[in-house]
Amino acid sequence: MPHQVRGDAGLLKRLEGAANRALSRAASRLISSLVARNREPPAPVQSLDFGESATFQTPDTPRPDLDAQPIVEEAPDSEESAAFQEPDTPRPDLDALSILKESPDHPVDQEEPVEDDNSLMHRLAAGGRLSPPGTTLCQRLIEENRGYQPDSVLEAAICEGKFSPEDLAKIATFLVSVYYEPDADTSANESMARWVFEGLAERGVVTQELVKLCVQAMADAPCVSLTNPVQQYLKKAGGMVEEYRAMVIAAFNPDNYSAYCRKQPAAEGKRLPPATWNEWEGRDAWSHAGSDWPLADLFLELDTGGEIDILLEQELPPGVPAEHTLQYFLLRRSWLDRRESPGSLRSLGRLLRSTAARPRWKPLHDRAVLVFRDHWSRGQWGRATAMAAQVYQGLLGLQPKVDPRNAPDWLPGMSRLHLAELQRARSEGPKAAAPSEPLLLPSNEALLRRFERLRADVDGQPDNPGAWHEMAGIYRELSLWDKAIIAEDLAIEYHPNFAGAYHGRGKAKMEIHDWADAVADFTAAIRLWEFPDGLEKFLTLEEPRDEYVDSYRTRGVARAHEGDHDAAIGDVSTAIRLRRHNARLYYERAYLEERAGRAEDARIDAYNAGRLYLDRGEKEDAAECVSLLDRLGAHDDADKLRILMAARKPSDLPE
Amino acid sequence: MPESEPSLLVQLANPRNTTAAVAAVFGSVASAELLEQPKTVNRLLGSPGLSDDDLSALALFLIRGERENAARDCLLTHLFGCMARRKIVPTKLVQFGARVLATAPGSLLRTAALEYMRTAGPQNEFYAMWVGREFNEQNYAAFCRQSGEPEAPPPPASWQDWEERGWWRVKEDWPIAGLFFKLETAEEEVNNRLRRLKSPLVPAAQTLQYFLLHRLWRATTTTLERVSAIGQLIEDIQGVEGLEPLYDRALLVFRNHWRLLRMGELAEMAAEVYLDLCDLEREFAPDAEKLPPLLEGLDIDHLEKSWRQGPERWALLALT
Repeated sequence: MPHQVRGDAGLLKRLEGAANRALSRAASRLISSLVARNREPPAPVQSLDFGESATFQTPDTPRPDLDAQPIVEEAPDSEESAAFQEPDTPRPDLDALSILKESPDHPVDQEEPVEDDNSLMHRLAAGGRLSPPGTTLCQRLIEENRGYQPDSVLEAAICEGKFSPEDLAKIATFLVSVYYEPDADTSANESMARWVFEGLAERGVVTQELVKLCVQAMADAPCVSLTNPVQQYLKKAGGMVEEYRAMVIAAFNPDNYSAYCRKQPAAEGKRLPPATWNEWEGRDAWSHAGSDWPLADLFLELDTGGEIDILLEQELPPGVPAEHTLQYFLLRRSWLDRRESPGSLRSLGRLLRSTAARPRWKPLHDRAVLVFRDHWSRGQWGRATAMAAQVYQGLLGLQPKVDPRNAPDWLPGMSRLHLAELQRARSEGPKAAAPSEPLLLPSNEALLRRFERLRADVDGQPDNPGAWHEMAGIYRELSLWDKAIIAEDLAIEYHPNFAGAYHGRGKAKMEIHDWADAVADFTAAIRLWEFPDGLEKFLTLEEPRDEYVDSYRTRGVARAHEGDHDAAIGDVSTAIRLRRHNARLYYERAYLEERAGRAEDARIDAYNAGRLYLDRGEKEDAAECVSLLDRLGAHDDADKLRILMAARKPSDLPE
Repeated sequence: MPESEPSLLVQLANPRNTTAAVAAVFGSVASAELLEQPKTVNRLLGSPGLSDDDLSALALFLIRGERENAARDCLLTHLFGCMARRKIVPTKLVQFGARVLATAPGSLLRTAALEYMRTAGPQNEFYAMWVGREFNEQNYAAFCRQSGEPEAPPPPASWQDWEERGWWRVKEDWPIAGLFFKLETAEEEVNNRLRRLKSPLVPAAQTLQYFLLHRLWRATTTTLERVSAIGQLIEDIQGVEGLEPLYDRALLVFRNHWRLLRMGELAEMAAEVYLDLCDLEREFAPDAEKLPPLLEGLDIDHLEKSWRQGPERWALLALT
């Protein structure tokens, strides 16, 4: 302990010199003895820092005035006093080692094993925990490795596979149990634990006692150093014990979890309540206390869907914060895992109900709302309820044939809204009922013959996409849209890059007013046709085929039906770029522009369309353009077209 | 005069077609009739001179030709048994076995192939793929055609009658199906096949979907995916001429599976969750004149009964 000194500087200087000489002699003696034993010498004495306390305690020569009142605040202890009193002569009872011990930079050399060694190896050997050969091995290691840390020796022996599987299991058991001792140093022996448990997993060594202890450790011991090796061991080898599954499930209980949470340091600050939907749905809205519970990984690996549902529905424990309940933990996992099933959704709903009334469970209830909503939306349960309504409507349709007096049983949970819509649609009747028997013209007979031939082809060669596509074309000509779609489905299935089939299916979907799917099909067709050089190649090098141009045009029409007029006009414009003299495209664009409120653009296009029609002598179509121009208020342009129409040379056929 | 095709024995005795060992063993047989003697065939196949490779080569040679050949079938029947015992599973033979089970009429060869596929087949890494591929619409339709036109059920007199006796006669003993349903991916594959009707031109009762619906009719468990797949089938075939029997049964099976889901309670729960979401909306944006997006399919009656935000905000529901 440093002492505060008051006195003259000369006296202090002499004291410092005397002390250094005395210590140098002691250090030299120690080094000589170590060299004699062939040991590594400690650091040179010169580098020792004796500090102020040493420098003033050894006076160079005795001074008469020392007998006077010493000028120190506290009296030195007895050993220091002794050194002080006989400064120049070496004292036999002053061991150099004891002096070195006082230096904080130099550990004490362990020359002799300590009798009451508390190391794992000593405890294993002394406690008779191992088999006789294992105990003998331990004792031999202790004797042969004097001077080394006993636990390092044990670790090396484990690593070298010197222990039998049985002893290894006993060491593991001992190792795990040691972690439960009140003063256990849980940071040590991590690598030893790793070697032990890896060795056990490799050799497939399991004992019921060990597995049980490990499972318990995972359930309630927050010791990071042991967790990983034990967890890995259980994952690899735990299943070899018959009761493993039951042990894990039993340990995965609310008491263990809340106990684990209590042991966790309160790292989280107070979380602010969410203020927006984004914050409410985000990660920060969750409490993460206890989220790293080691047992949970083992539990969830067991594929215990049913058990999770049971746990979610369990009664909530009194006196436990909502965030420390097992239900909260499972909700968080469920939110991350994105698994949903009828059972889990039902359990979530029951948890919601049980937490709705009491304010103390509000955090839990709030999270259950989030998870339920996510699962419901992601699983498309709403779509299923709509399907159920459709099925019920179908059953009602069967009722007259099956049992006219009794309506079919209600389907609980079906979408009432959807059912009402279906029933309204039914009462209003179909908008444009397709004829059940297609009306065929004489020219259709050839079509039918072709159909029969194709049908035979398809029967004999069902994986021919071309045949299916051709058949779809015939179905379209016969207005059998559903069958056309199915045939194109097959063509696409056997040839996924068949652009023509996507176009054909899109055309059929247009007829049944399935605008969104039609847009998707035309987009797929365009993408395939334009691969790899895009639209440009058709504007420069290559003559675009009719189906390709029509894909743009009809996609535009579908988008117009969906209300997206700008996109629709864009598509028709592209079609015009590909077919610059197509009067119909100009007229259609004018029509769409009129609907979009772009009167000036509409006027220009309608006028151009009229001129192109007249150029081909199509007066009826040109007259439509004139009407459109009149509607737009562009009477001058309408009159110009009228003049052009009148100026055409009349037919020379006799009247 | 055209040369007639050499007999199977002569072909087998030619080392160009099979291995030398096979050629040696079968070359020693004097007449083709011997192949119809089971003991002789077994003796030949059990010859210690034939290794696993020899048997594989023999099998591959025999399945190369597509044409029916009684001697070949006889030999293959015994070969399946022999290779099943020795657990020899060349991929081509597994593929052939799957095809036999999917298309061939009842025969000794089919029985032997089934035994082979059951016991040894799964050891081949492509077993699941071939079984899955052969479990298809065309093969089922071909299998059904062997037994003639399907028989229509009598008109139902009640809902129960409709359920119990409304089925057309289904060919349930399709051998490949037994193997298919044991595959790990069977559940998912069944849903995929239900979702897509591939053969609109075969009679409805002979479609694969009809076969699958018959199997699912009395299931005791279900999933949302399964219910959705049946619903998708219903949407696809509704109003399609000729598929009415399939539509009829799809309604029945959907109804049964829907009951298994017990959706009534879930739809009510969804309504309760929506109420909580409406409360949160008020918390986050007290002045907003809107409600969160509706959870599609919730129980609207239950929502109305439990509504706690007044009639003005109820009216906002129409805008969601």
